[in-house]
Amino acid sequence: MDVVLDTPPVFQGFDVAGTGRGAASPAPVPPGVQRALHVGDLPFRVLPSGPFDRLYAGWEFCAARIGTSQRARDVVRAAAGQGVPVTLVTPPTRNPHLPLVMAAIETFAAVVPEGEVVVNDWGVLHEVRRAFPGLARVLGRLLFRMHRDPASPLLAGAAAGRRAGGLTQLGSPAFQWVLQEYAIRRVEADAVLPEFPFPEGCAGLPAMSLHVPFRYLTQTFSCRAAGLNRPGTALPIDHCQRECDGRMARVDRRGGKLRELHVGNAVFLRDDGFPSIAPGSPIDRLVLRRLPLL
Amino acid sequence: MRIAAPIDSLEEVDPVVDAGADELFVGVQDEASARLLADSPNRRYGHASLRSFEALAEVVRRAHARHVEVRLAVNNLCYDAGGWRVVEHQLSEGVRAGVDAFILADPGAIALARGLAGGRPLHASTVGLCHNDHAVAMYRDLGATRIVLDRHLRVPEIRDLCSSHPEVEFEAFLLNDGCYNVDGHCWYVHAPRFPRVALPISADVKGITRRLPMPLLRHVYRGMYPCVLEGRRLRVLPAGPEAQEVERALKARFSQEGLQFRCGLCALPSLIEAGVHTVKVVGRGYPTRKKVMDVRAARKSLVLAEWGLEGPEFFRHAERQFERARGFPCRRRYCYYEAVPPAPSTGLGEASRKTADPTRPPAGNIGEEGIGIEEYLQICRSRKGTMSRKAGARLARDFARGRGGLGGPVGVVEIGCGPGLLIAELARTLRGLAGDEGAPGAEVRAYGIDVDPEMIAAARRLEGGSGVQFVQSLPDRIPLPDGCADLVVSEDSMHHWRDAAAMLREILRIATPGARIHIVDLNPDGRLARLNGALHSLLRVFGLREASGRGFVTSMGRAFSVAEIRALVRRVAPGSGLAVEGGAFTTTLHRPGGRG
Repeated sequence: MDVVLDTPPVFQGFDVAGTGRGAASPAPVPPGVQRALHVGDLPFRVLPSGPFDRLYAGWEFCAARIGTSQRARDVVRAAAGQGVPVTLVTPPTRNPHLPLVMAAIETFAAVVPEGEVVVNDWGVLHEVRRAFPGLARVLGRLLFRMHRDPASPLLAGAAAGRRAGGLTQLGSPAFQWVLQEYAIRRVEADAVLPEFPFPEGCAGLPAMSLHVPFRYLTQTFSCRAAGLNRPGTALPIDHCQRECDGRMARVDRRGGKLRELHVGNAVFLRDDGFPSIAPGSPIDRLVLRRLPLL
Repeated sequence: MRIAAPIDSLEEVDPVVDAGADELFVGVQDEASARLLADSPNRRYGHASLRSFEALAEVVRRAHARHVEVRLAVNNLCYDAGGWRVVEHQLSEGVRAGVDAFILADPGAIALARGLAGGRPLHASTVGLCHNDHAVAMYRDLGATRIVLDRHLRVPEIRDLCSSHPEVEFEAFLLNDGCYNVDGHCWYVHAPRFPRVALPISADVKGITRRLPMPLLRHVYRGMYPCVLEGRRLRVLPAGPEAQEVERALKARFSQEGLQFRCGLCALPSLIEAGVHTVKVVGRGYPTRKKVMDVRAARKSLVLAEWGLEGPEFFRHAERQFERARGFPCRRRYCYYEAVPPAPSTGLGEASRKTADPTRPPAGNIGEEGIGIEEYLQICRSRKGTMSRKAGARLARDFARGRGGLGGPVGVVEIGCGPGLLIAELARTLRGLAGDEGAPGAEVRAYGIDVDPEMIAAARRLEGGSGVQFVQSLPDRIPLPDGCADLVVSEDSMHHWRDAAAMLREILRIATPGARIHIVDLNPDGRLARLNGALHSLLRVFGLREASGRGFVTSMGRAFSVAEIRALVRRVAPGSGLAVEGGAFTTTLHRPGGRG
């Protein structure tokens, strides 16, 4: 079974990553592990026919992509109408875009009153707890802190079996406080190693999702790759024309060992390795992407 | 508005405070912290932090003696279990060392730190990701008293946050690096570009960069860019002319992209008007010189902004400060904030008024890059002292000539009197002239004003018998009644005034309507002054004239240009009759006066 989505057009010679070879394929997963598909806010008219347990829809990195409150509502309603459970993904946001994000959440809460909402912004988390207490709060990848760059000596050390627990904030009392105070149901994370680096002896972990194959690495102030063909000096991120739908750039680091994908205001690392999930692990969901989406 | 600045060592406290910092922020990596953070790719390297809490206590003592606060940065990007033990350790040791506040990085850390910080204020780091109203409310509810704003917020957004949350202090970036990745959302490892292997960067590998000249330093910190398109791929370029060319092209394309050492000075009037409490100059780990130059540029620009300069006039001055700090022209390519409409206010912003610390003395000669009182007095005993006495006598004669005689009581005041040589000679000469005129009973009331208690003590010791009253003042305030001075003089002290606008208002307040005013300061654009500065710098290279050289070069950096002083007079004292003249060495702010 393959994932079929509207594939954005190749943009003027830029290598669009993930157009075929090595795309996230539905490899076997352990029993009890859900498989979710992240579709962002792409059109929903051609959806995968595969055995996906859940749909992730929304905007993980960029509130400017939302466009209008009406579009926010339309995307949420379209996702909710697909016949599978939906998780709404919300981006970090500054004040100008806050109403758009809240419109999406409000619509989602109306359509799926006890649905899951992924938050990538502390303010949105605070407000969701206050205004939409029925929604299940999920801590997004932008708020869950873990080392992700393979150039990190810590990551290299962890791969060699040292200090794996130091890769994430899971063992920190400060993080535990956030989990309890905000009643976080789930944490979204990246698969940085073949086995997720849980700290030893750490109890009370929430359910976790792993995103594959695009490991989020960094977020930028503006759309670097997408803006390369934009004339003038305007900031693309504030004059969004959704160039990121089709304009990505690949940067090979370290002699091609690391494949970086620059998409809009985010940078991803492509990692086709499939994570190993031990029985009884807090990881009970894989979130698959065909393309790195915002 | 306050200026926060980084330091990495005790030795940096004085120069950075002298340059104009109101508060300092610092990190500590003692043995216990280093052990717990072993191999952690924290962006703060060993050399960017103090090595012990004893050193921190020293820093706090030194800073507090200069009425400057110290904040301890505990804002790790990822508090893992070991990292949190470091936070607990640093909070307790920081309290013991006497720091004034802590900087932390996320809501959980702030919530838990409340019980460990000994009641000190907690500041949410920019790594805390506070983008919007709801996030501000969250941090405020958790107990944060200040929020360091994200680097990518625009001025209107900052204004919005400040006006919506007057109970919170906001801190905005200035003169920071040009990295365009979002702090707190970025997991790049900032390893040096060479060698291209994963280095144990918590070791002091990057310590070498402290000694690199600025142009090289910029490239070491560049990160992964720029890139070029080759066929269907982007290729990252190594540092070199080709990379520079691409970088320039990127700068032309993105106003907030790919820049090193961004500025933001032009936005100061708008940030003041928006209600920003503090501007933060960053650079832990950078050379002392960069910190000093940046803080100086920030202070100078802040002074100009608080004078009420705005729009193109302010931009010109800000560009000038940028060039002085960076050594290359502005060209508006290094803007931190987008072009912002000029602030509507024409005077001090509300934030400045409410946060100015009236008890804090401005930077003086003592302690200026290490000059002690004895060194300074030694300088005064030599040629400078002779010049001061001659100037005092000349001013007295000019004053008497201008008045056409010395009948009646005469009040004379020197602002920034230092060891009192000039005002003492001035008073003696006036009394002598009065005697020559057959008016030996003419009363000469002379006051020497200085903010520095050591200077006042020295003046009383050296010139106590001159009949001059030496009075210590508060910064920006002259402790004399209205209309008491027929002659106000100041020589080489204006560049030490923390708020020149306030001081000028004070001078006009104490001056009689017809008083003579004579203020002389270095002209940083004067040919002879520049030549002298270069000469001092050269002499310092050979270890000669070390103390005076340091003082002179520092003073040159602080002194206002003729255009800036004219702008000050236009804004603060229009119609006062004050004229500004620039010379090869000095600038004179002068009013001839007459019988009032």
